[in-house]
Amino acid sequence: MTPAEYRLLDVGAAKLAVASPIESFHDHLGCVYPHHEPIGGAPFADARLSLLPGSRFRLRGRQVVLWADSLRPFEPYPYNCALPLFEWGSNFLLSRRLNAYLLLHAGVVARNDRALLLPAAPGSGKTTLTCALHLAGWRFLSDEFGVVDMESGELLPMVRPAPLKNRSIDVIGRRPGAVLGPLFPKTRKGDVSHFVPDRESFLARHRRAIPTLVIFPRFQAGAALHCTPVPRAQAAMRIGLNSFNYQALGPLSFQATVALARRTQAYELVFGDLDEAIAHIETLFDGTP
Amino acid sequence: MDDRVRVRPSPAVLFWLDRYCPSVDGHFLFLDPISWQSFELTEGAVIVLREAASAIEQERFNDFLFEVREAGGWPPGLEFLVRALTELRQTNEFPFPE
Amino acid sequence: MSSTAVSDIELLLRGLREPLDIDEARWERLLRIARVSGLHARLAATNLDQARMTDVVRRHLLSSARIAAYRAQMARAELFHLTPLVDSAFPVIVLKGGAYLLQKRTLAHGRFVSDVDLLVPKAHLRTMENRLRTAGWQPEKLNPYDERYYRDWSHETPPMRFPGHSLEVDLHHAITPVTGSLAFDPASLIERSETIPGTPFRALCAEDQVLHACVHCFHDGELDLRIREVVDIDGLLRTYAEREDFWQRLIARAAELELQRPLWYGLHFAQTWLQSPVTPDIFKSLATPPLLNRVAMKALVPLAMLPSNPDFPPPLRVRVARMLMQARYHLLRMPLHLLAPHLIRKTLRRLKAQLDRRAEAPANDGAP
Repeated sequence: MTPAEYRLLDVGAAKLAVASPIESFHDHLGCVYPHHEPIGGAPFADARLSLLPGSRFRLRGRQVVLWADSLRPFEPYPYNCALPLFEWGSNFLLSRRLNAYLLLHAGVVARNDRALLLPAAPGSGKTTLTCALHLAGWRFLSDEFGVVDMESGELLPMVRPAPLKNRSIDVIGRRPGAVLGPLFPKTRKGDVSHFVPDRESFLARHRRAIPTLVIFPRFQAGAALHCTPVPRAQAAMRIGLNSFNYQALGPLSFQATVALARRTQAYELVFGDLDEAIAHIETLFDGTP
Repeated sequence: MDDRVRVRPSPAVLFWLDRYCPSVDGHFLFLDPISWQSFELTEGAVIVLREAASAIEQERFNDFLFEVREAGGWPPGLEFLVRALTELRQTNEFPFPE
Repeated sequence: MSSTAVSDIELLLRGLREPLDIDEARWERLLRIARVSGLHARLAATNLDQARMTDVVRRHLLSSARIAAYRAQMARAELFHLTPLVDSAFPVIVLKGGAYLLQKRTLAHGRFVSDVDLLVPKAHLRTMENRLRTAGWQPEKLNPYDERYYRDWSHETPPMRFPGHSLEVDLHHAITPVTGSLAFDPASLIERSETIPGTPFRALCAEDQVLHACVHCFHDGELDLRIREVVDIDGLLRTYAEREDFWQRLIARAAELELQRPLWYGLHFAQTWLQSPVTPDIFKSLATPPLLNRVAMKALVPLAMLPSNPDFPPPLRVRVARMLMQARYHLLRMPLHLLAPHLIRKTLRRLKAQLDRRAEAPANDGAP
């Protein structure tokens, strides 16, 4: 594949280049990256990869393989699941190359360039909450990567489709304004469909935001809303634990998380109802200096 | 309580504590210089760390160890952190690119 | 390889020695092949402070430098942890990357350390193992066949890991496999070893470090993308070349341990690819390998060791070269009658692992 056949995606904090002979993959890509226009020249790509079809004679069904720099870092996916493989695989590759930044595992949304950080934990519901907040009017920076410039403390957007799984697909899909990509049933992570951030967020993908509020979300079906302040020192530790490269950056990330905790307020939020959670978050945010 | 003459210590260990043992709203965090693990510490633990740091810098660490034994031993988990600080004394450079 | 691909590699090799002045597009290609061959942090070590580059390139080099620095720190942490286990009963020698770090060698900058390798006298191997276990290190799980292989047929014992630590500790009693064609008594390695000031550990003497790097590069494991081992050899030669009588001692030592063949290859490729300061008279002092071997190695080694065009899966000739090199490795290491059942066993296990395995992520830090 020559460089001309790569498709460039500028998602904000990074540029991706992807090539594939698989037509359906390109259609799917167009669904979940609807605002992107072809990028001219030969810009630097932070990750450059190909999605190549496996043998059509394989007994258990044809597969698609992700190649990056003459290596295959992951197991193949079924042929029609090239998009989830691309999304997951490119996220993974990026998380290893962007150590110039502190990479928090968090959803990030913003109002007037003041950011709300939603550090992840398995089953916390952060992706669902991030998407719901976006639909409620917040700018979408990322559902997965809190990209921190450690010198300025600012957050950089990484505007990519957010993978919703199983029940969340319906929960978010029902909401007014929700735009979802194709459904991929029964992948190894369950049913997956990608939530598409709006055009405004895409246009603002190079506009940074100042961290203002940190919410550690904990979704519990049927639970009453319960919000507890988290002391800043504990918040710093928990933010660090919820990151891709906190350990690897040692002294640098330590300072950065302490600084981040000092300039924000942090809460833990147990919720069973999305709208209740959003309302409470907005009240907290309005009250934060 | 201590009327020994205090020599102005050279920076390495106390420097580390200044930068990597911050107080945040009255709670303390600490970055282990060897393992790069972070810890939340009690005020008591930080006092011990600072005493240890002074002892290291003033080259009376063995006296300090004796004092700890006399006082009934180390608070849990703290010995390892203190030993990590002693390693700082020996290396002249910080092992990471800024 | 196309002509562009060849010059990418030449550029990479040059970029390891001097700062580059190239455009962003070229940097992207370079970073890609550097990453595949595990040399991206070395590229950073040479270029970050010196070369002019755009911000995005700088960020990538910085990212690589930080990962290497983290690995180095974890190696120092592991050695710090091991310090109480070393006493005057027997010497403990740190091999390869661990030694380069403790000795503060320039070649350690930007080098990815993957494990901590220790050499102890064979008579004390079990003692050292027990010390590690008592202190909390645990052996990686191996089936009984593998364990026997490691203990009797290889110089390695199963690697050990302290729970929660990212690096393993590999204990060795020799630097060549005991059943292989290069086996020699490791006692003299220990006799000639040197102290590392400020630590209870020892290191191989300069000549032995070079020879070990050569043996490790050409005889110890698969050759896939081993170019970084050749970079190590070049780094060692540059560190020691100015020492008085270094070259004479190196050649004499190679003769003494019958390691001239791997040394010849190490010097040849280090000089060809990285302009190591090896003069013709040094080559003359070594027995040149037979023509057939030389031709085969000169053809296969570049294909196997150097990265291929990153836009494509490795072409057939590269895959064949790597397979041939792998066959050679096994032949050198074990006699044929032992080799066949071992290989069959290993292949079966790999197939089974592929069937069982889910999408496992490799180490999450961008280093090989």
